[in-house]
Amino acid sequence: MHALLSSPRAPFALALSAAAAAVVLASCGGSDSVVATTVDPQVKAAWVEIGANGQTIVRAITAASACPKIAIDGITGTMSLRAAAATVPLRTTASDPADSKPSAFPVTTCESLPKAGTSEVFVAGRSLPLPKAQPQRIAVLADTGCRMKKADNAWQACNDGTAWPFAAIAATAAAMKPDLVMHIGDYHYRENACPNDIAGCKDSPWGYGWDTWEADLFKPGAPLLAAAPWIVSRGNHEECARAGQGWSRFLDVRAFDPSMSCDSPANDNSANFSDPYAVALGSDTQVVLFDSAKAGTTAFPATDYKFPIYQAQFRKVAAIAADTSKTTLFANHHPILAFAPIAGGAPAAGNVGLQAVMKTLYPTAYYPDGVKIALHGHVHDFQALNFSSAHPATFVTGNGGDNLDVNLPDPFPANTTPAPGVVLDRITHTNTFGFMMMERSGSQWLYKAYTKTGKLLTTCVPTGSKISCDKTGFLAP
Amino acid sequence: MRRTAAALALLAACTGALQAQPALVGRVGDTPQYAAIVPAARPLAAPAPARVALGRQLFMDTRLSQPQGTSCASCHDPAKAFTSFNGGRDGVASGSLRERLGTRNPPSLTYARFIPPLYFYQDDDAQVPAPFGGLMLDGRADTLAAQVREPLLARHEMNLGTPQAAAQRLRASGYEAEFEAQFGAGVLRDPQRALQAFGSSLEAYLQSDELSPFDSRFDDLLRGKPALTPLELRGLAVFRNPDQGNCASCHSVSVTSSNPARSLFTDFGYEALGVPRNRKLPANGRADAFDLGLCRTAEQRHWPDSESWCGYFRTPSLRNVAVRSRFMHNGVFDSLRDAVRFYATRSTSPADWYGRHPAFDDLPAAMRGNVNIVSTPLNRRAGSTPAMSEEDIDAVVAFLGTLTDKRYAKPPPR
Repeated sequence: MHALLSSPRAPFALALSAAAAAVVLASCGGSDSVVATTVDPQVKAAWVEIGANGQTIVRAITAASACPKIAIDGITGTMSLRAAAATVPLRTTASDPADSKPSAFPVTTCESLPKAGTSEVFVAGRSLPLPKAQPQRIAVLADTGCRMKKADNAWQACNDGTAWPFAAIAATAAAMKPDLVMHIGDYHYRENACPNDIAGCKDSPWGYGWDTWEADLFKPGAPLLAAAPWIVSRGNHEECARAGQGWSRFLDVRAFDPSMSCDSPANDNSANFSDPYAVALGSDTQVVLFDSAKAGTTAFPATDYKFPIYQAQFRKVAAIAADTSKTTLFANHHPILAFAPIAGGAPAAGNVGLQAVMKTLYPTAYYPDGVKIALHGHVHDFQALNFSSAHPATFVTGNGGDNLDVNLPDPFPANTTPAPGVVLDRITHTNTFGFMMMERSGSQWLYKAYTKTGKLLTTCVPTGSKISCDKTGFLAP
Repeated sequence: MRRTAAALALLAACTGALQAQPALVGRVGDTPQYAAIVPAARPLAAPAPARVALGRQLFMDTRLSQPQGTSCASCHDPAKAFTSFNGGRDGVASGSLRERLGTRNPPSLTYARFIPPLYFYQDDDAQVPAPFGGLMLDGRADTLAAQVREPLLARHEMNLGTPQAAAQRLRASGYEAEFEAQFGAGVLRDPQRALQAFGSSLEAYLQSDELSPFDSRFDDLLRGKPALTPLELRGLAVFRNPDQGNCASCHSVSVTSSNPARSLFTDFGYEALGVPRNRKLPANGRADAFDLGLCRTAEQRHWPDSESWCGYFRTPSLRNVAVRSRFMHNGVFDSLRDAVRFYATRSTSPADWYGRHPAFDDLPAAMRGNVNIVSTPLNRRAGSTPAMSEEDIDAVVAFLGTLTDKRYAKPPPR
């Protein structure tokens, strides 16, 4: 199935540029040069993700029924089928049935799993970025899609780069040449049909099929998909009743099994969850990806079916974080020890459902030992929080393109806490559109918040589970 | 059963609601919570012409007050975008008894037909449900018909006092035949029916296109005409920019929609802005007297923690705002530029607005925490740079001038 896993590496390819490699590949006498240089218009997207155990995953989406060729270190083969083209019958969705439709996936999703140490991959004329042993820059973003939601009467002007700036954010971040991209969920927002009279979203695809994913992620995010391998986390917009079908076909790092997927609501109680896994960020850091798509916004009791599922998953996080040779970061969509702003009221606490689960395992620490920094999206702003209590510093980077939330108060009200027993030391925040860049500096990562145009807003320096940002309070864009 | 259905259909037609309400998902106190926003751009039934004509006549009739001489139009003058002061002062209107002054700046009635009844909605990402709609700035009336009955009786407005007195005055003013033709025999002999009929008539008039012409220069822009000057276009950009004016986050506008009802410049939501106290109002003579806005409605409708809504008022439409002479719910500002500048510098230069008084001084100290301090541009620290410059403010004011209906418009600037 994945014959290329055992393919011998071209021993000389490491030192070659992509263009030079194409020439060399041609000289090997195979069809590698064709794969390397010939653009295949059928291929709509090709990118690289990193899955569990550091597995490099090459994905491609093609309009053809057959998977495209792939050249891995000079050896040409054919990508494996991940998900065949299909139209999934209408299922219960987050919208009224009258505002829902079957999800059409008239594309074939393909993948290959190159072995560790692979140095070159070409698909359809594109040289794909591969994981580096020691990444120096990691772009971090979340909540990037264009909101089209009838219940909210929200019709973000997807055709207007000012109103929906994800494409600009992707271009700005890509220009900084990241070695990895970490997206912390909520890729897809085009849920309902744009009213005919609104030119701002006129003719936009809607629903949960391929066309919406292409419009919300694969086209505007193309510069970032081409720039670096992606680490992906799942948001509540990718739960089964929303864009879960596309999530599992395109982005989920696990194998795809349609019979167990969000295609049928009968699978929701399992398909809305996936086990955490770690991705190495060089030799001394790892990030644990945690699927909180179904965490919701309200507390759920210990008798809720979700409770033991999340409980078991946090035990697995603990096992991963027990590796003391690495600094462990934790990434999930819903903020746990951060805030949700409320106009005219005190900021709301972090996700109370997850907090309740975590307290049963780690009554005062919430996180298991070893987790130093937490990364989230969901709230459409940027937050950097340092705690004087023994809790991991936390970043929220949900300002990636969807409609923004209001700001947090500045100065921040005293004695406001994201969870019982957690004591806030300092918070730095803004709600302007942008992203975060993790930049390697010696033995540590710096965390830098940028606007959509690349203006640096703040730099935060970590020390263990603490951070120190060079600015405090509201960051004016 | 059939009769009930027919009656409901008639009711729907009378209230202008063609479209079914969104699904009911619960209640906050006595107030419905829906599964979706009630959109402004929903289809509304056209009121019957005869009913509109009767409503217009009633609206202008100065006999319907005690003493006579004050009509609805006295405080909602059609020549002034349906707002005026009836000889009042300092931002509030006089009633038919001139010495009796109101406590709020009379709102414009233009485009009021689009305001839905009070309801709650909670987006699945939101932490709490939020209220929308409701007539009056505190949302206490669910329909225009219910709203217009209040000033007819109110002692500080038209002062007829009781339904009986109102019915008698309508009869004495020669309306009996017309009312009976439209509402049935004996309608003005039954005070409650008389008030209902009065409300229905006024509602029909207020729902007519006369009050919602959508013919401003901004509407021309929506229709594809190059109608705005560079300064006005800059103002529109500042108005929409979430890093600057951020006005459109509440005063909704859809610049790419050809349907002007999507640009009513309100989301019908509620805000506590912490507007400075209008110390010239007689009602504010007592230091402990406050207009608390939505929390009175919250209390009446049994919302939990009703005091958390004190200081909130419904976001008004900005259409025809440049026609007005007083601004904010208590009429404290007498220039549109001051109103816009208040948003820009309330938090950066609070002394400009509150002087020696504490910030948010038009609320009891215990309720000042309700005021919005997180939305741009209201979130900046004292002494920091405002999110809008003085030039931005000028541009926004220029843009707001483009929201004036044609009948009130001055020639556009060259």
